Amino acid sequence: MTCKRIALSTMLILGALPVVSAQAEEGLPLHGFADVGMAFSSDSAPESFRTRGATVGNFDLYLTPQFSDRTKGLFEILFEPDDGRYILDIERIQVGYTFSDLLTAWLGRFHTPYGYWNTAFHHGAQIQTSILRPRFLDFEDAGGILPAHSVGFWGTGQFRVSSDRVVYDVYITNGARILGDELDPNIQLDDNKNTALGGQVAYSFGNGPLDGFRLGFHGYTQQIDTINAGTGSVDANSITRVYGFSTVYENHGIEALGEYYRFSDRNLAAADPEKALGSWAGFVQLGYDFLPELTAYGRLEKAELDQEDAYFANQASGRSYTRESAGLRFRVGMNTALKFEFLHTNLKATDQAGFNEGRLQYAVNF
Amino acid sequence: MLFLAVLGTGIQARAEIYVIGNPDVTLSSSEIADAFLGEKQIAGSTKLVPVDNKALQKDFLSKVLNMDNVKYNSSWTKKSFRDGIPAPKVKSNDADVIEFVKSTPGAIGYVSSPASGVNTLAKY
Repeated sequence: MTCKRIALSTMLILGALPVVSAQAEEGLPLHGFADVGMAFSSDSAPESFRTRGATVGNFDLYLTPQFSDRTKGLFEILFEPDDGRYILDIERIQVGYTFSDLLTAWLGRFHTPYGYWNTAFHHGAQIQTSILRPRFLDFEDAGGILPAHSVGFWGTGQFRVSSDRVVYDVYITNGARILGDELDPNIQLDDNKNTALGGQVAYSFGNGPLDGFRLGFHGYTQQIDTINAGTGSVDANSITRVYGFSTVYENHGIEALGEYYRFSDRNLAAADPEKALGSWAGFVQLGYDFLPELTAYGRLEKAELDQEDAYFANQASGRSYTRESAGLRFRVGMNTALKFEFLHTNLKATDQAGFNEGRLQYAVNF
Repeated sequence: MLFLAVLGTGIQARAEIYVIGNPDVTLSSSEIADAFLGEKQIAGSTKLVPVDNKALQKDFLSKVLNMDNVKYNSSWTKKSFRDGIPAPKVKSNDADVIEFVKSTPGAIGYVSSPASGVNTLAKY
C-alpha cells in the first residue's frame, strides 16, 4: 500500500507540473473512465449472495505526459470495487522512447499485448461496445485465465504497405505466477527464471472491400509456478504456450470482433513432463449500428480447459464454460454510453446449473 | 438577403483547406492523414505535433480523414489510452493555428487560406 501511495502521489505531482513546453502552456490533461449501473443474476452459487441491485463500477484515471520529443509516459490508476469496498490498483506505469514509427520501446507495467481486446479496451468501459469483457479475457482477479498485465519490456511499431498497415508487438517480461488461485504478474522482480516471451503481428487493410479489417496473430510462452499462499513453496509448475489469432472489422456501421487462443501446456512435475495438454478459448462478437446512436450486439464465447493442466486446475477461474450474450448500446453524448446487456453462462465441471444475468451500465470518459 | 445567405453557404461548402507545417516538416498526403490519427509520429528526425483548427475541423475530418467528429474523438480516445499518444491540441481559428505552427518544431495544422512563413503541405 505504501508503494501505491507513493505512486499516486507521483501521479498527482505529474498532473500538476509542466512537462514539456506545449504542456507547460496548457497543463497536463487528466483522462479517465467511470461507470455506474445495475445488475441482477440468477447465479445460485453459495458465495453469490449479492445477486441484484445498483453497482458502482471502476474509476480509472490515466496521464500521458511527454517528457521530451521522444520520451513519454503512460500512467494509470484504478479504483475498483472489491468485496464491498474500493481498492486502489496501479494499472500501468510505463515509460517509453520512440525511436521512429517502427519502434517505441516501453519499460514498466503495461497491458499485455495479445489479441485485440486487452489493449484496445481494458478498463475503458465507455469505448467497448459490451458491458462485460469475454469471461476468459477478464482481469486476473475477475475470472480471466490470461496474464492481462505484465512487467518488463515492450517494443511496438508499425509501417505502411501501400494503403495497408502492419503493426507488431514484442515483449519480454517477468513470468507470471499463480498465487492464491489467481494469476499474479510479479511486479517486483521475477521470482524465478520463468521469463515470459511473446508477441503479435497484425495486418490492417486501409482500402478496397477489406477496408477496416484487421487480422492478427499472437503467441507467448512462459513457465508458471503455483505458489502455496501459506508456505510460499512451489506446489506446481507448468510451461504454458499460447498461440492464436484475432480479427477486427469496423466499417459501414459493423463491428465484428473475434479472438482465439490455443494452449499447449506441460506439467513439469507430471510423470510425463513432455506431454502436451491442449485447451482453447475464443469468442466472436457482432455489432451493428441501426442508428448512429444505437448499436445492437451479440457475442458467443467458449473455453475448453483441460483440468489435468496445472495451469488451469490451480486457477479459480480455470474451468470450461460457454456464454451467450446480447445487448444494446446507446451513445448518449460524445463521451457517454448507456448499455443494456443480458448474458447466459454455463460453467462446466460444476454441479451448478447455468445462470442468467441482466446488466445496465452508464459509462463515461473524460 | 436570402440569396446571399445561400451563396455564402455554397462558398463555405466548397472552401479549400490548406494543410501547413513548420518549415522543418515535409509530408505526403497519406502521411498527413496518418499524423492526424496518431499513426505517424516521426517525419525524418522530427517529432510531429498535429494541431486541430476548431473553425475548420468538421470540413477537414470529412475531406481528409473521411470521418465525423464522433469517430475522430473515439479514435483518439482509443489511441491515447492504448499507446500514450496525446490527442492534438485544438486551436480556435486560422491565426492561432498559424502562430502555433510557425513557432513549434514539427507542428502541422490546417487553415482556410495560404499562409506565409510556413510550409504548405497539401491543399484539399
